[in-house]
Amino acid sequence: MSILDEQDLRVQLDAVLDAITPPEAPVSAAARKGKLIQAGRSLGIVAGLAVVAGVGVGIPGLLNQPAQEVSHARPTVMVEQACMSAPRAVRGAAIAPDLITERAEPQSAADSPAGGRPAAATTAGGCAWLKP
Amino acid sequence: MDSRTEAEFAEFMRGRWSALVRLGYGLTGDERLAENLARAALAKVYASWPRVLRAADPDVYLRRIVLNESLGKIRGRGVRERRTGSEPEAEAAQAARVDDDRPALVTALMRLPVGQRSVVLLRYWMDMTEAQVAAVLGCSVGNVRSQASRALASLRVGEDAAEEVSL
Repeated sequence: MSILDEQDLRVQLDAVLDAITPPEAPVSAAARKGKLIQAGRSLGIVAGLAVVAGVGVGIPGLLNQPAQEVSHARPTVMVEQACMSAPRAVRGAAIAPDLITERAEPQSAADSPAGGRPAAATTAGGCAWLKP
Repeated sequence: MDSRTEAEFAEFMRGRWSALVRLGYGLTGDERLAENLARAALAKVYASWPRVLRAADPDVYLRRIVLNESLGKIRGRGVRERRTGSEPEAEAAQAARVDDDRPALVTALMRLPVGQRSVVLLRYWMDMTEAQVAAVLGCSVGNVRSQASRALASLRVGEDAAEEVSL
């Protein structure tokens, strides 16, 4: 093989490639394959739309979940009479109720579920319970 | 597609089939593969027929499809060879047999990078201008010019090397 210049290359390419004799054009086979490609594309579009629709329906549902109910019940604090085995700090609080009187509402002993006495009576070292 | 459009497509395909197969052969060096490439390209054209008709030059569109298909095949073959580490024996034997049967010019073309091979075929066999080749390959005219120049140089060097070996 020898290639002298562009013109020579053209001539040689013509000779080599024109020697190829292709069979009859497979029109129906190409058309059949083309229809398959079209069907695949349509399926792809439908699948894409389904995914978009799924995301459109699913994402807002996930994002807009109702918030949990917040409890507005007020906390109840009970102070029972400190027994002698209780820690010293607890006993001190029971003996000196004036430390907590600002937040305490003394109530009658009858209202106490634990049968305690009002905080006012704890100066003598009795039971105190507070219900804010 | 209605029957009129089908007839239009059939006419389009028959008019370009031989040239496409020959282009595919120049790109791959394998007649059977060339036919498959041409058939696949025309199937894609069928699937996008309205777009092809709207295109300024349907032939540019068609040649681009063939080139892309052949690039895919050639790259796929390269990936397979890299994965296996070496060419499988049967494939190598078949390649050698094909090499023996092929004209020297086709063997020399197969040694060129795919880009240069495409430029040679479009520019010197299909007689396309540099601008037309650039449009088909989606690159600049300067790139086409440099690829063509390198390809010619490689083909001349390849020829010299072959003569040295025979001596």
